[in-house]
Amino acid sequence: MAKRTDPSRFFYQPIIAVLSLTSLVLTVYVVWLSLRDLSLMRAGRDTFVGIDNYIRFFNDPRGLWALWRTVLFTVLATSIEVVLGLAIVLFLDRNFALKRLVRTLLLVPIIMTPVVVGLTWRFIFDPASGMANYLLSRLGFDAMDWLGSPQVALYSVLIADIWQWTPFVILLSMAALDSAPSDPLDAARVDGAREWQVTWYVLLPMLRRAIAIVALIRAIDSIKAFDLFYIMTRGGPALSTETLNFYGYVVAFTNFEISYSLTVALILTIFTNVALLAMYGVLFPKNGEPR
Amino acid sequence: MAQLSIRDVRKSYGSVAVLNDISIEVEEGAFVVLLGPSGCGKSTLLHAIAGLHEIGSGSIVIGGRDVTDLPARERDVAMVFQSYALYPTMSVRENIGFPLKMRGLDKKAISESVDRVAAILQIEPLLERRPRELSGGQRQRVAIGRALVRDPKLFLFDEPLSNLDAALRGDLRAEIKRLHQRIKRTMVYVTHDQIEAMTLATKIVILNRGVVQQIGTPQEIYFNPANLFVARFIGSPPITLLEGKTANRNGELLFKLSNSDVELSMPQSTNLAGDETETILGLRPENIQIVREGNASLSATVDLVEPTGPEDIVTLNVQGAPSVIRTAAGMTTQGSSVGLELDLGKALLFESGSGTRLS
Ligand SMILES: Nc1ncnc2c1ncn2[C@@H]1O[C@H](COP(=O)(O)OP(=O)(O)O)[C@@H](O)[C@H]1O
Ligand SMILES: [Mg+2]
Repeated sequence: MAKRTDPSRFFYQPIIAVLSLTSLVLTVYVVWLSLRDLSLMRAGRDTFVGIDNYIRFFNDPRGLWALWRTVLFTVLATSIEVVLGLAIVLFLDRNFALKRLVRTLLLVPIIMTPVVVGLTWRFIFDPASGMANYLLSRLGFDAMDWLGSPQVALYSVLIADIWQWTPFVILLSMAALDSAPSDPLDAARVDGAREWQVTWYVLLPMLRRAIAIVALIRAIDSIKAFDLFYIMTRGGPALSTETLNFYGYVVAFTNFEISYSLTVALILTIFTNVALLAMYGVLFPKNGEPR
Repeated sequence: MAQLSIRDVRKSYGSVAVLNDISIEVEEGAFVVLLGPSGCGKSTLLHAIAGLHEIGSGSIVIGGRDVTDLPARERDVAMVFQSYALYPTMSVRENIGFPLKMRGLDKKAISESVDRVAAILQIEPLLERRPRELSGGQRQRVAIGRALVRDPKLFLFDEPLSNLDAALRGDLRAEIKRLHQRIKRTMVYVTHDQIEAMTLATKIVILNRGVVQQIGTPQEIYFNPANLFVARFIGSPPITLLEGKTANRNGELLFKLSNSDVELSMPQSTNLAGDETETILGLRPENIQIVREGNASLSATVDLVEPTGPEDIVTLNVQGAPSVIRTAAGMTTQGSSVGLELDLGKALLFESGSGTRLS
C-alpha cells in the first residue's frame, strides 16, 4: 500500500532529509578537517596536508597500541559478558521464587553512574586497603597492584566493565528465554536429548538472534568505552590502559591537535563499522538461518 | 500384557488436584483416545506418561518396565505436541533426524530413515525447508514424521489436529487412522473432539476434572454411558434430557415429567429407583420420532429448524426442556406443534443429583 501518493511521506521525509543532511555535512566537515593540520596551538594557521595525518597514525606506535588495546578490550569484554551472562541465565531455573527481586537487583549496576562504578572499583582495587587484595590474602595469594601495574590494569578495568554490564546480558537473555517456546525443549527431551543437548541443539539456536543483538550492543559500547578508563586509570599506568577512544581524547584535549584527533576518531569509526559489519554478516546471513 | 499401565496416578498443582487416581490399561497395538473438555487434565496426563513432569503418586509402566522415575529420554516414547514443537532453527530433515542423532546413529543411517519416513508422509519436497516455511498441515506431518522415525514403544498425540481447519482435519484424521492400521503401534491420543475420538479409537477414556468417567469402546461409550456427564458429552446432536420423578405403580415403573402431568410407562425394571426419586431420562436423537399429534405420547413445539440438505436438525421444546433431533428434510416448520414417539426401551435413566446411571 506504500504508494508514492501516501501522504504520510510528508511527515517522515523531511525528518530523514534533515538527519541525513546533518550526518553528511558533519562527516564531510570532519573528513575535511582530518586532511588539514588544525591545532589549537597554531590557531588560524592550518594548511591542507592531504593524508599526512593518516600516514602519521600508521607510523604512530602509541596510536597502534591503543588500537590493539581497543580490540583486546572489546573482544574480551563482549565475549566474557555474553558467555557469563548466558551461563548464569541457563543455570538459574526458568521459574525461581525470587525472580522478580533478582531482576530488580540486576538493574542496579546498569543504572549506576560510571563515576560511582569507577570509584567503587578503585576502592576495591586499592593495593593497601582494597577488598580485592584482602580476598587474595584470605585465599593465600600475594597482593596485586591492580591498577598500578601495566600488566594488570587493563584487566582490572575489564573486571569492572564485566561487573557493570553482565547484568545487561542476563536481563536481555532472560527476556528472550521467557518468550521462547518451551514445547520444543520438551520435544527434544522426549526425542532422547540430555539436558545439555537440549540447551545446545535446541535452546541456544532459538536464542541466537537475541544473543547476537546483545553481543552487538556490547561490542559497540566496549569500543567506545571511555568513562571507566577515565575514572579508574586515565589511560595509565605507562599508557597501559589507553584505548583508541581515549587516545583520541588525549590528542585533542591535552595536545590540542584537533585534526589528528579527528583522524584517530575516523579510523576508530571505520574500524568499528568494518568489524560490526563482519560480525553482522556472520550472525545474520542474508539467506536463511546460519548453519 | 498391557503395553501401558497407568496405576493410581495423582498430580496436583499446589492445592489443585489435576489428576485424581487415574488408572488405565492399554493393550499392545491399541488406539486409546483420552477425551474430555478443555482443562480436564488430558495434557497433564500425557506429559506424565512422557516423563515431562513428575507425578504426585502412582506408577506408570511402559512395555513391562516401571518408568515412573525415569526421565523422558529413557522412556522410549514419541510425542506429537499440540503446538507441533518443531525445532525452529533446524530444517525438516534435521527435525525428523534429531531423535536418531540423539541415539548416536551415523549420518548415513539417519538420512536413510528420514527419507523412508518422508516417503510415507509424502513430505520429500519439504525436507530442506525450515518449519516457518511450512503450512499447518505440513508442520503436523513433520511432527508425526519425527515420531515415526524411531519406532518407539508408544506414540503420544496431544490434540495434533486442533490447530487445523476443518477440511484438513478430516484428511489428517483419516491419515492417522490408516497409519495406525499400517504400523500397528500402541497410540495414546488426546482430544476434546468427540468425532475424532469416535472415529479413531479402539478404546476411549473419558476424563472430567481429572477423574476417569468411563473406559470403553466407542460403541459402549455411546450406547451405554456410565453417567450423565458421559451421556451429555458424547453424541451429536446431544442427548435429550428430561427431568422428572419415578414412581412405582402395580409393579410398573412410571416416569412423571416435571412441570406437566405427562406420565411415561417405562419398560425398565421397577426396582431400579425408589418411589418419587428425582430422575433424569435420557434419549438419543435417533430414539425420538415425530408423529401425528393424536398418536403421540408427548407433545412439543418446534423452536428451530436447521436444514443440512437431506435432513433437518430440529430443536424442539419438550415441556420446557430442549431436545435436538434429526428429521427428513421439510418435515416440520418453525413454531408448529408436533407429537413425539419415544423409544423408551432405549431410554437411559440417571439419578438427578449425582448423575449416576440407574438403568
Ligand atoms: N503449570 C501449571 N500450573 C498450574 N496449573 C496448571 C498447570 N498446567 C496445567 N494446569 C491446570 O491443570 C488443569 C489441566 O490442564 P491440562 O492438562 O492442560 O488440560 P487439558 O489438556 O485437558 O486441556 C487445568 O485446569 C490447568 O489450569
Ligand atoms: Mg491440552
